[in-house]
Amino acid sequence: MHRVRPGWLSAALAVGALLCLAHPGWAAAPPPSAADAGPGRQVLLMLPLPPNHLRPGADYVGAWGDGMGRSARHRAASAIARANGLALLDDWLMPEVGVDCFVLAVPEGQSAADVAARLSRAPGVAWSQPVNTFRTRSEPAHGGRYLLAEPAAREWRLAKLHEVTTGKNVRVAVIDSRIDQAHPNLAGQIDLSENFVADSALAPELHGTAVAGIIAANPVRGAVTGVAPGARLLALRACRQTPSPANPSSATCDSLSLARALEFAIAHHAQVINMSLGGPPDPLLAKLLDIAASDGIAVVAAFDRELPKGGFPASHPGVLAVADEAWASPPSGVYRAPGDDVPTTSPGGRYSLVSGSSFSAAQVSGLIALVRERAARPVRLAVYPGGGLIDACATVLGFAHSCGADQAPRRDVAASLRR
Amino acid sequence: MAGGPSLAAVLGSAILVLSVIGPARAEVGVSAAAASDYRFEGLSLSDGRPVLSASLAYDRKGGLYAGATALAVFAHHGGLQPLGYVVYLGYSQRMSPDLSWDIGVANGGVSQFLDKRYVDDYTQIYIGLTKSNVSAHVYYSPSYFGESGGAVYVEVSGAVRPAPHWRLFGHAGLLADLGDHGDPDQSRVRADARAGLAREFKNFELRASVWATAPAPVFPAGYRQARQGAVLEAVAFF
Repeated sequence: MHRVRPGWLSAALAVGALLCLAHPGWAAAPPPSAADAGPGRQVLLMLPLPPNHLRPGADYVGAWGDGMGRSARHRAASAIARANGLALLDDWLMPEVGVDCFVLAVPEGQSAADVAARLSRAPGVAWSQPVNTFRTRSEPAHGGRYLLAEPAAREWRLAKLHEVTTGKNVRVAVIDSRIDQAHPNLAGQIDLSENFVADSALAPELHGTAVAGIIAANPVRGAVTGVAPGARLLALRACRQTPSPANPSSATCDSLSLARALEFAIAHHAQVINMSLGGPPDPLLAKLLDIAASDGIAVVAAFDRELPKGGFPASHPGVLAVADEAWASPPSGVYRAPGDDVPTTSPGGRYSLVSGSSFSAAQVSGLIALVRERAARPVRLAVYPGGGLIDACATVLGFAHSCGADQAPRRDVAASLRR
Repeated sequence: MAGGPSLAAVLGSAILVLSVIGPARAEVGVSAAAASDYRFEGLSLSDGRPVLSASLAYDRKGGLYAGATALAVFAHHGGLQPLGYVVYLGYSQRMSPDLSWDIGVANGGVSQFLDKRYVDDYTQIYIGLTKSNVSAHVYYSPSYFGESGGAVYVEVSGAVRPAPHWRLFGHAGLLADLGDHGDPDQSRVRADARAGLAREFKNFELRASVWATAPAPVFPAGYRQARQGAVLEAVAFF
């Protein structure tokens, strides 16, 4: 009863032809060892994802279920790696950006930038880029100063603002080093915690713990009052502590860990993302920042005076770039907030003073959380005329309001801090 | 059906042509699967018997896509036998980073290894939307397993990822018989649903799902089957 049909013949021919095309580069040389390839010796290879569509005859729903597509892109990336003498280390599907991202190790003697430029010209490649390195923006605290109160508590009149808003239930993603979740001042303030750094370190780290305390420390349980004690933190570890004698809290991150953390923050509906770090411009991170902006997420970044245009992501359009208010004349568009000798949480249940634009950025992230509790509208930071110095009361309460007659003129405060 | 195989020939030829034109600007996926049943729009096309399948998928930069699946069944008698095929050709475009539309034509057939009366192929034109991991499609079949009048099928599918490497998926569909078969007692509409769990490995996937159909299939003729059941699948990607 069975009969041979033209449909069968065509399908069989198609299967045969595509099988032949499915295995390019079998004869290529084996890739070099990549065991020691760190971020400086890695490139990202981005292969474009086709638009999601039906696959008749197969159970298929969106990018997650598209095993055939992933397999095809993995095969293509392997062939490109072999053809260029590179080792394929890892891959990561990024439907939000529309690419499948592959991590390749660059052998000694070759520049990651040169390799990325070469790969970017290969057929079928969306783009390629080096895995860039980013650093947190902190400085040693002066420490010798007897500090009576937290700078933001005093200058921003936090007590008055907290009568109106504490940033209750606003989700703030802290993309940083590991936060001490057991610190009494931070206990119960963290909704989610994820690690995007490929190491086995488990100890809490200085920079992330300090930033988290400035944003959301709970005054009921410790000595520090966060700018937004009602906020809920997403503790996203994308940086690892790389201390130096001059700066024990310094931490280092790379394109991949930051991108994964950013994607996680976007997917988990963060309303504010704090990035107290800086580095070179990065196309992958730029695309994720654009997605965050289109989702209405406020991204706050530390402005680094030592990097061109303040470093990336502070230089990216739509990102709120923040410098320490002690800097009297920042470039146009850069905000200034307290960032000098700020008391905050430190690992092991301790406290410390911290300084730098990292912590100015954290103050602003907390401030935005205060605004977001009251309204989901895009946040406009109110500033005093000239110099980008933030007027917290006007930002939270509106331009027609002030925090009372005892509100100190900000320019005077900034001047006193510089002395 | 004379039209079905001709369309299959055209689609198969199109896949051949596409695969020859600049494969570096396209991705070609290959998979092989074993399943305890082959289900299609609320029907078992393998009479509840286990099947093996091999699939190819071609996605060209610019939105054109095509694919083919060949199926074999472990028959009641005679061991492993050819069961059928699916070929398709479509076009998709993004409307936003996570929203895309697609349109296409598919042709499928099953061989008459079973001693049943039915004509063994269908042709569908479909259009739909996919947003992130939810999709909705409408299919129109002028020729639906030989039944006059054709059929319309509407489906929604979705998936969530409760944990890394795990996927919960679901599907709901509604088939409307557009023909007049002279039986007022026979329902012209049939619903089917399916829910399952997938475990993803590197280049490999295991799926388990349960399905239900209401009322029991009486359209097209020759497919009177169970109303609920389960399917186990293993899929390898190359």
